[in-house]
Amino acid sequence: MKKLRPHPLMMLNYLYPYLFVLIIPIVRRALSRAGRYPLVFFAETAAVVLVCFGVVLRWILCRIYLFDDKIIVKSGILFRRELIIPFKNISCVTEERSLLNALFCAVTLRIDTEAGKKGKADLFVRIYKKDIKYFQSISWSNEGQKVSVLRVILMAAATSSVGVGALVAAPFINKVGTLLNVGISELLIDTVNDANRYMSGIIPPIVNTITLVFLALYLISFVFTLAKNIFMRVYLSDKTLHIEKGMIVRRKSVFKISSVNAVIIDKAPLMRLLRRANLKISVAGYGAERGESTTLVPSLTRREGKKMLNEYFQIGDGRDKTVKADRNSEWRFLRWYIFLLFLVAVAAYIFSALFSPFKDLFVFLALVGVFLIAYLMSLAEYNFRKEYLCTSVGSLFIRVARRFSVCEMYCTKNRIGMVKLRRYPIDRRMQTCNVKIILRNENADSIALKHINYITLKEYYGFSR
Amino acid sequence: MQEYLLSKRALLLWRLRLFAVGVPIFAAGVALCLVSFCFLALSIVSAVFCAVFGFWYLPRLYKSYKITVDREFLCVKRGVIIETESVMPSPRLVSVRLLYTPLSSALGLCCVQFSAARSRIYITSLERDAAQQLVLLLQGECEHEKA
Repeated sequence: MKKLRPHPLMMLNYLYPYLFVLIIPIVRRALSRAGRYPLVFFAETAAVVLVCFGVVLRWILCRIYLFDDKIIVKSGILFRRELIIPFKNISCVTEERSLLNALFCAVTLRIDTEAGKKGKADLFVRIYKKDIKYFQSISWSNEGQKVSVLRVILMAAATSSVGVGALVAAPFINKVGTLLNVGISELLIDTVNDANRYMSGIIPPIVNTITLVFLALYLISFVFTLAKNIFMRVYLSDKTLHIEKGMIVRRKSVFKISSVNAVIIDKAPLMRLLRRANLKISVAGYGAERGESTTLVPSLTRREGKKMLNEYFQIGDGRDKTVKADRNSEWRFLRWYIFLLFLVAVAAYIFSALFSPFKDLFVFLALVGVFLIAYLMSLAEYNFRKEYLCTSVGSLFIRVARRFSVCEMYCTKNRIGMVKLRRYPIDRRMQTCNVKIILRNENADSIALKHINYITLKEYYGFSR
Repeated sequence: MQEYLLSKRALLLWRLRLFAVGVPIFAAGVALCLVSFCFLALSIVSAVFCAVFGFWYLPRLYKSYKITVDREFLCVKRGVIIETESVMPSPRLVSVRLLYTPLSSALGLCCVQFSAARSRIYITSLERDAAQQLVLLLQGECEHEKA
């Protein structure tokens, strides 16, 4: 048995929830009001001292006991908590090395199992760098194959989005602004307006502004994804998968093959254009983000993907029973998009007539809308022609277009948590159904197929009665 | 393979619950119709809704319930307008919970909740004996799977 202590940097993690709401405002007030302090200030300072005392006590009382077959973590001040994680239940171990960690000889360790809270690690702790050797038995290898930077750049370009950019940028701008007491958002708006002046011409300024903001957010997302995944190294052994990636924060993750719920081949729009795909694995309990999947190999060609599935995951080509979308249901795949097209055209016409000074903006927005709907229609058409659900011995293969990507999922039947079949009145008339397959993990990753032939599904698959 | 259907007592239970909610709303609407005509309209709408729900929707919903259990799957089929089939592999089952309310236990009924990792299936108002039999059956299956 080995007894370990968390690194003192762990106190920063404990302190983080109070940092922006209590500690930084107090420090700023202390600096700005030298000499004149109201009574409330002293009360708040007392609260900060109490919080700091609690944090130090929490760090002192936290202990990690490492046995041959399990880890026990004892923590808590008033209410003591004992966490027991048997090694056989661990699905993934992640080691994080950031600049701060490197400076203080610390390492962040994250251990995930199939159980626990959604998006939360079962064990999240900073330990001394020298102690990491005790986790070697459940941890990483130094071997591995480098993934080319070009592949990672392609993946980052294909998977980046304005939404992710906004999610990354907004808290950063907000927190840095609070910390420095500077209106960064106002500064950014001024910069966009300045850039707008240079670009004014045929395109209306609002269109320029929207385009600039979207491009900036996409760029932020691209840089973020690239920094997270660059210098990737992958090592595949018989029982474990090792992935190492990241520039500023270097992450090493080890996954048990037996914990891999599904292998996903994801084709984002750009990837489809380049005839490439990302190979992802869905591991029960992994990560703090939505979904529990991570990219194993980025920007694979079809041949490489097939080889990997055959040789490493032993997923062959043999398909016994295949169910596809009903042949008479094409209009059902497309109806909503046709309605949306009509709606966009009518809305653009009405708004242009009502607010004629903004006509250019409405025409621009309508064009963007039409382009987006046309792309979604092409995916719906793809679903009608190519979506399928099929089985080989004990395995399921699903191909479907979801959101903006085309996705192929391979999993064994024992990885399925639940199957839901939904039939609307029209489905009953046309003998079709919508199927949703939910995997057995913390986030309950799911994949849905529409307008599948109900009779064939009943005939082929044991799970429909 | 074992098959279960809901009893008529389950329908009675839900009609009683509907009655307990609908009657006060209707009475309040009628009493307040002196203040505004809107309240009378509200009480009429609630009465019609309760009638349709209690005498058209609920009987069909309860007739549509079909629970099938075997070694491989637990399957619950239900729905009047939108039909839903939830299929849970029996080995994935983590826990079964029986919930009793005073009214349901007086009628010899209970609500059964099957939980797997991040997914749940509810069966409202199953007969107590049938629920316990179902639990025993699943327990047997789980032990069988472990063996």
